[in-house]
Amino acid sequence: MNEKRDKIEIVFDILSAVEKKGGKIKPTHLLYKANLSHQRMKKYIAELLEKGLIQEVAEGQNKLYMLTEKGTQFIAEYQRIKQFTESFGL
Amino acid sequence: MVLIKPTALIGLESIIELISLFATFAIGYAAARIYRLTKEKRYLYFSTAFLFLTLGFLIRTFINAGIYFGRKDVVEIAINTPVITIYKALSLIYLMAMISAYLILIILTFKIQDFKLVSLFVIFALVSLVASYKFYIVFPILSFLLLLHIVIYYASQYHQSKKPVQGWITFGFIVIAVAQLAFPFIYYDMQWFVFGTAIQLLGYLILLASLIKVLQK
Repeated sequence: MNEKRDKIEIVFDILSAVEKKGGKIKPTHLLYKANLSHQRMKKYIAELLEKGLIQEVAEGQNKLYMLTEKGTQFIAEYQRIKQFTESFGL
Repeated sequence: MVLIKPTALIGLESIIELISLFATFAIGYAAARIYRLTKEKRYLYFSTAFLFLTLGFLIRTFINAGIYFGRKDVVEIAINTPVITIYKALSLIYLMAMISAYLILIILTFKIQDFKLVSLFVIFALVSLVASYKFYIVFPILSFLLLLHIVIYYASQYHQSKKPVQGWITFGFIVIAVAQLAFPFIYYDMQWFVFGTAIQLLGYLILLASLIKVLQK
C-alpha cells in the first residue's frame, strides 16, 4: 500500500468515527478512535476542516467536530471505491 | 489475415460491438474516476486495460461497418491499395489494443511487480501481435488462453469471498473467454463471427451489470 492509500484510509477512519458517534465527536474521542498520534491528528483535522469534510462546533464548554454533507458524501464514495476494489479484485 | 466478406456480415455485429464498446468504456471510466480520487496506479492500469478494449471495439466497429455499409467485395478492396493499407493498419492497432488489454489485466490481477517478468510479458505481447497479424487463428486462441488466466484469478477470488458480485464478474469473464472459441470457426462459416461477438457482448454486459451493482451500493 502506498502513502496516498494510507492517507485516504485514515481520512475514512476519522470521518466514520464521527459518523458512528451520531455526526458529532469530541476531539479526545476522535483521537482515541482514529488511533493516531496527537501531532498527526492535528494535521489531519486541519486538512479536513480546510476541505470542508468536518466543521468545528461548540456545545457549551466543549469543542466538537461535526461531519458535514461533503464528509458524508466522502464516506459513501470511499465505500463505493472499496466495493469496486474488492469486487474487481484490485 | 482473414478478410471479412460483406456477404457474411449482417450489419448487426457492428451494433453488437458498439454496445460492447460502451460497456468497456463505462468500466474504464469508473476506474479512471477512482484513480483521479485516489491516485493509485492499480486503478489507472485497470482503466487503461478497459480503455484499450474500448479502442479495440471502436476499430472493429469501424472496420465492420465500413465493409458492410460500403458493400464492397473483398477482392475489390484487396486491389485498392490505400483501402487495404488502412484496413491492415487498423487491424494491427486492434490486435495490439486487445492483446495489451488482456496482458495488463493479467499483470494487474496476479499483482506481478517484478520488472523482469513484466518485460517478458511485453516480449510475449510483441510476439503474439506478430503471430496474430500473420495468422488470424492465433488471436482468438491466444485471447481464450489469456482470458482463462483472468477467469482463474476471479474464480479463486470468488471461492474465497463467496460474494455474489464476484461470482458474476467471474461468470462474465468465462462468457467472454468462451466467446473467443467461436472465432476460429469463421473459416467454415462466417456467421460464427456474429455469434462470437454476440456471446462476447453478453460477457461484457454481465461485467457492466456487476459494475452498476457495485456502484449502487
